[in-house]
Amino acid sequence: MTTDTDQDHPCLPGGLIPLDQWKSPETSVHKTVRAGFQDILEQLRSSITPEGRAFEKLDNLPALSAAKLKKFAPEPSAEELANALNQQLEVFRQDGHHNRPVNFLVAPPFSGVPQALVAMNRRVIMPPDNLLMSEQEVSGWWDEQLAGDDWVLPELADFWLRHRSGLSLLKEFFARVALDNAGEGVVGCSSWCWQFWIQYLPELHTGPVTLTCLTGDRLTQWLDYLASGKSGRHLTARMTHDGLYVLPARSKDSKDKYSSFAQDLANVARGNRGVAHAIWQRALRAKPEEDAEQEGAEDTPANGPKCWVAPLDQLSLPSVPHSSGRQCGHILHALLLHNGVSRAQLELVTGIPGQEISLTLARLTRAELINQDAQTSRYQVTPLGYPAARKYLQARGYPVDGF
Amino acid sequence: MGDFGLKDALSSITSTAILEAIAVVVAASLLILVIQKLVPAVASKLSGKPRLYLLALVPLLRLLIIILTIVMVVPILVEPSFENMLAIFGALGLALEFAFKDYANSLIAGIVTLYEMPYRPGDWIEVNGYYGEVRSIGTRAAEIVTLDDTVIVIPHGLLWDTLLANGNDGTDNLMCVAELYLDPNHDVARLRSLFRDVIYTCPLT
Repeated sequence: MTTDTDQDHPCLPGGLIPLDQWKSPETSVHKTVRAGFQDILEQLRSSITPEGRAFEKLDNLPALSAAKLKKFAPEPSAEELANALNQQLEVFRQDGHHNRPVNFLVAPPFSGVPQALVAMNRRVIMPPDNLLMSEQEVSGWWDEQLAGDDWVLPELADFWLRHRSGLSLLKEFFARVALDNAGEGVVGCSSWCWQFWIQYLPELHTGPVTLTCLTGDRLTQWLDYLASGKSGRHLTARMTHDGLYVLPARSKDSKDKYSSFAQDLANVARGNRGVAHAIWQRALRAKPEEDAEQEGAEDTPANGPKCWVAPLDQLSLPSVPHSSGRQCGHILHALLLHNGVSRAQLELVTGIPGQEISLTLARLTRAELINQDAQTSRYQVTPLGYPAARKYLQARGYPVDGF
Repeated sequence: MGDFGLKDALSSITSTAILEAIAVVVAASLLILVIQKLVPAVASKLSGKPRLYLLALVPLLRLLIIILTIVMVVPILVEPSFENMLAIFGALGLALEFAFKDYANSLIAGIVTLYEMPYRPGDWIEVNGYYGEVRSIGTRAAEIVTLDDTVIVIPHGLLWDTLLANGNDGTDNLMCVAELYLDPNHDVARLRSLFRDVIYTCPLT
C-alpha cells in the first residue's frame, strides 16, 4: 500500500509501506540464473585470490572529477528525506493505518533513515556510553529519556549488544512500547537489528513501516531528482558501450532508447537506495570513446549537463576474502546487526580473541568491505561491500535481514 | 545349454579385445579418481547449496561412469547379440546373487541414496550408535567421521532395515544438546530467561 503523496516526494519514491508488503525488485529467470553462476564463479575466484578483491573498474574510461560527481550524484539530503518521512507518517496516522504512539521505521543499511530522523525537529535520544546496564539502571535511564513526548530514536541498533548483558536496554524499551508507555516518538531501526529482535520477541507487534523498494523506474526517478537538484536542469546520462539512455527519466512521449541499467542496478542493490547510489557514483564516467561522444552530442534531448555510465559488468564490486574459519562471517554479521561496532565491542559480541579480530578486520578493510569511522572508531560495512557481505552470510546460514 | 551359452559367448574374446577393455576400464577408473578429487576440492571453495549439490554429484557421476564403462566394455569383449547378452547378464546375476549378495544389496541401496538423499556430505548422522559427520558417499558405502576423529564406513545396505538419525538433513542448522545440573530450588523462570539470552546471543545461532 503506497500513500497518496508519492508524487510529492521525489526524494522518497514510492513512499512508505507496511514492512510486510516489501518486495525485492522483480527480475527475469535468465538474470537470476546468470547471477547464480556469477556468484559461484565469484566464490571460486575469491578462493584463488584469498585476500579478496576491492572495488575495481574494468574499463579505461576516465572517472568523473570530484566536483562533477558531487554535482551529478550528490549525497541525498537528510533534511528533505526527514520532511518526506514526516509527511508520510502523518498520512499514515490520518488514514488510520497506524494509531500507536510510537512509529517504527525499519530500513536496510545505508537507507539514510537515521540521518533523516536526526534532522527531524524532535528531541533526539542518543545511546548511553554503557550498553551493559543492569535491569534497574536501564529502567531509570529510560524513565529519564522518555520523560517527554515528541522524541526520535535514530537507530535502535546503537542501543544494544549481542551479549547476555547487552539486551537489557532494548528489552525494557520494547516492554514499554508494547504497553504504550513510552510516550510519542519515532524509532529508526536497521533491518538486521529488527530481524534479531522480532525473533527474540515474536509476540511484539508494533506495525513497522519501511521505504518502498527502489525498482528500476523509481531508481531512475530518484537519481534524476538528485542530479537535477534545485537547478531543475536534468542530467543526461548514457551508456558508454551502446549510447542508450539512463537519465533523464523517460517521459511519456520520449522516443529515445533506454538502457536496462537502472533495472539491473536495482537488482544488484536489491532495491537498497544507499547501495544503488554508491554503485551509481562509481559507474559514472567523464567520456567514452570519441565516436560515441560525438554521436551523443546529436541526440541529447536538452542542453543540460552530460555524463556517461559504465555497464555494470565493467565494475568489479568488493568480494569477501576466502577463509576456512568463521571469523569473517561472525564479524560481518556482528557489524550489520549493530550497524557498526568498535573493536572492543566486536570481541564482546563475537567471542573471537582480539588478535584474530585485528587480523580479520585488516583483511576486510583491504577488501573495501568495511571501513572505520574516523570520529567514532567504529567499524562498519561499506555500501559497495554490502551485497557481497549479505550473500556471504546468507550462503553460510547466518540469519539475514528480509531486505 | 548347461552353461547358459556363456562358454560360446566368451569363446570369441581375443587378447586385443581384452587389452582394449582394460584400457577402457583404466580410463574410467582414472576419470572417477579425478572426479573424486576435483569435485570435492571445488565444492570446498563454495558455500551453501552449490556446495551440497556438487558433493552429491560425486557418487552420481561415478555411477554414471561405471554404467557407461560396462556398456562400452561388454560389446568389446563379446558380440552384442541377444543370446550373448542374456548369457553374460544371466551369469552376472547369478554371481551377484550367490557370491556378492551383500555387495549388490549395498550397491542398489547406494543408488537409492542418490535420489532419496537420507544423508549428504556434511550431514551429522547416527547409525547403529555411531554419530558423526558424513565425509563422503561411495557407491557401496558412506564414510562418517566421529567426534573422536574415527572414520566409520557404513554400507548403504544398512538403509533397508536400520534406523538412521540425521541431525541437520542438508541444512546449516544443527541442534546441540547440553546437559546441565541445577540446584533443586532454582528459579525456573529466571533460568529459562538466562538460557534463552545465552542461546540468542551466541554468534553461532
